[in-house]
Amino acid sequence: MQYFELTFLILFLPLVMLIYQLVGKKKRPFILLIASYIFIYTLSGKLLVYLLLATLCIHHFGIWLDANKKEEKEQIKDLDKEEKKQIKLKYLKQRKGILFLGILILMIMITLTKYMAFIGVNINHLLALFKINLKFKLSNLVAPIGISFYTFSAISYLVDVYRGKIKADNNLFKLALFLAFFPQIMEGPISRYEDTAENLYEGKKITYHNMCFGIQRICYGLLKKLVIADRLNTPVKLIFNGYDKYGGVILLLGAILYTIQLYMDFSGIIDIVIGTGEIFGIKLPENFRQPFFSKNISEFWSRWHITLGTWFKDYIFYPISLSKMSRKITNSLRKKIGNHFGPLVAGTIALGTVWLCNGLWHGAAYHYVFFGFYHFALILMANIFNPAINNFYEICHINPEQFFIKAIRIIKTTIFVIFGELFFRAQSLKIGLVMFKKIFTEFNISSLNWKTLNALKLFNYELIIIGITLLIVFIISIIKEKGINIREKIAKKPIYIRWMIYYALVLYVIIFGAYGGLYIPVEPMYADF
Amino acid sequence: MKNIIKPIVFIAILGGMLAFLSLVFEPKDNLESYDIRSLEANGILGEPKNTIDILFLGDSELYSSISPLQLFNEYGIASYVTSTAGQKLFESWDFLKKTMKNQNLKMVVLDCNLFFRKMKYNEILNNKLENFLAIFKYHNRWKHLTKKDLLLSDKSYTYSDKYKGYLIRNNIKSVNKYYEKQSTDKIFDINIENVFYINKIINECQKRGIEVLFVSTPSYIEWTYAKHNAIELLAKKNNVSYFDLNIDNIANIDWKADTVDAGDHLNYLGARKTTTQVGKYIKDNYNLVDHRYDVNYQNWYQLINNYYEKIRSIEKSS
Repeated sequence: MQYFELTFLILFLPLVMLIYQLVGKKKRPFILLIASYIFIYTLSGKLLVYLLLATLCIHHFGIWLDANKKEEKEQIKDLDKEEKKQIKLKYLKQRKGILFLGILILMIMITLTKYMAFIGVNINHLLALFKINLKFKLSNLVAPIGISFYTFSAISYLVDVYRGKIKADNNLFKLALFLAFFPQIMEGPISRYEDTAENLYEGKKITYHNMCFGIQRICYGLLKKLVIADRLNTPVKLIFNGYDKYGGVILLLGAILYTIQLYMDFSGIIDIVIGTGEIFGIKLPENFRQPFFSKNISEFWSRWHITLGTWFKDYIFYPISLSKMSRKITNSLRKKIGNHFGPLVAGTIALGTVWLCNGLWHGAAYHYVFFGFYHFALILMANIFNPAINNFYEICHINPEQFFIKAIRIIKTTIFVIFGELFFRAQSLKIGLVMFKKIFTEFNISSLNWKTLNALKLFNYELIIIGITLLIVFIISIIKEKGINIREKIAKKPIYIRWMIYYALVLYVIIFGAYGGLYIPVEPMYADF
Repeated sequence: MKNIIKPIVFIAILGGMLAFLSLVFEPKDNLESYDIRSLEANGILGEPKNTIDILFLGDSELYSSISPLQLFNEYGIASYVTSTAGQKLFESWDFLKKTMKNQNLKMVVLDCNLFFRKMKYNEILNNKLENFLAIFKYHNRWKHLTKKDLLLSDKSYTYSDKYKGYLIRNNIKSVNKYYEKQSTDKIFDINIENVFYINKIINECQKRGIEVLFVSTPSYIEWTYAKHNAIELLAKKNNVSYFDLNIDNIANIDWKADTVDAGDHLNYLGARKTTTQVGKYIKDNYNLVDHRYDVNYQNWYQLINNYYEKIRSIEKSS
């Protein structure tokens, strides 16, 4: 059962809503938890046990961390300053150990299911490099759905308890629901305990307003996912699987289509997820903010998969860049190479680590690592050349926020993103490089003709539907970018206009959705990451 | 109260729209141009009323094993094979229901390979919804809706398969290493949802006085003694006959020459032997009318001639 399937939308979700609404406020979170476990069981079967283990792990280690803090408080009572310092240091060390152990357990689970094969291959490469005649055969265990997402939520919970940002929760059920909540288990967004746990456990009544807004958002997500992303599945597969048969123009078309597909698929699913949360009065964090209106790569990543970006920022980037070592490096370099480039070195080390982790989070393969470093390089270059570029704008009296310049910057960013996605989707780094090279060396515009498009299953009527739907999404994005709340606007219209819009949206998705028949739905892409 | 009424009215109107659109999008004919999938199997819909006595339900094992035209030629049995690749029991149930609307069946033959194909609850529910509101199944027809669709014309099925659902295949890929299968008392576990559908089919047939027969067509790869035991048990429980062609190799299948894919499916040579044996079994055990001299079945002879012509041309070229 997937979010975009009829069984979820017409049976599972309404049934959960009905039971949720009928039971009392206190029982509602339990209904959500049971529904979540049933949902996960239908997807991962017995692998649900990984999630249960992760839940028990953060519950236990959270309480342990808190208990340690309390014990420290007790111990330092009535002590002098120096002794207090000594005791505090001792307890801090202990808490570091507890945190490390908790994260280690979570990381072992994710490593066993995602990274063992990759580790094995790399060990073998290393052994071969040193001419040691030994080979390891390591393979991944079957991964439960969404492990990358809930593991990150679990880590953030432990770190926040360690940092004293939140108090450890004694309520095992609340924590269990925080990790397992069925709409977000497959593809995120990566929630923080402080933002969603309380909200999840409140057991708010389903209101007419929330239901309307939630269903509206689900329908918009389905429009992106079923009408565009799934429709582009066949051409994208044909191009990327048969890359050796095509010239540069078609490969570039493949990269563009894949970028559109990925965005429509992932943001579409997130709309369904957030909409489902909205029905139950649960506000889940936004994961996208019109990313293709970004003027540079840094901005792109603050608008694309936002919860992953902020997670990396809070739990990887800041801890590294604000560490004692980094501060030392920054201070010494500031004196030598100035205020701009001085902090850049320590920041770059932290940034490099973030992008290495980002690449590996998406998958245990070198093309993902390359994808991470590609974006790292782009951001680094921007950081280095930004002062020069700003000077250039100033000297030439160019306003970088002027419409035309802004459009050029947006197009430039989009082009960078498309090339990044080419490597992301390629079957391997080597193939990605071959495709990239072909785009520049075998670029023959005449190969883009009706015959080729039809062979890629991009028939006229398919193109028309893709075009119209993209235009709808584009217009809505512009409206949102202007800060206009289109949903509130629609909600204020008379009922007959409102309902006409809703019916049109629902029927458009049902009729023009690329499901059934010869269409093969895209497996929710981010669920595998 | 207002908050309850509004969603109910909204859903009711939407339901009405979907029901209307289902009527528009539902195929009015069983042709490919109407987005009919599994054309050969759906050819049953185009058969003249009450002319088919036996309906064969199964997967690719079945359409590779039984030739209705040969059955007619040798035994006068009027039958049709509505098998599709990877068919699941809920699809078999759909075929049976659709067929019974137009045919007065005397017998239903279930190819037992169906019993072991897993069905997900999700698929079953999806199928139910699609059957209830055809728009979900046939929405892709928006590309070629015809005047007939827009005017909500009556359905008239015009296509019937020239081999009555059988698939002629002539290539040979021998079984690599043939081992005699060892008998066992083990019983293969048939999933509960599969048993549910098997019982449903049997009950419906028994209610209408239609005979049910379980058949295991020859398959070196798929068939095992454990599966045989499971089917035998189920057959006994439901008082249904079971004819297993794999035991003692009744059809005398040569796994070096009679298979297209190293023992999974039969080619026309294997199908010829299997059809003869199945026909003989039915003739010996059931009292069915021989239609060979029935004037209403004269058109079958044209198809039979073409069929044997095709077989001869295959034999000539090989």
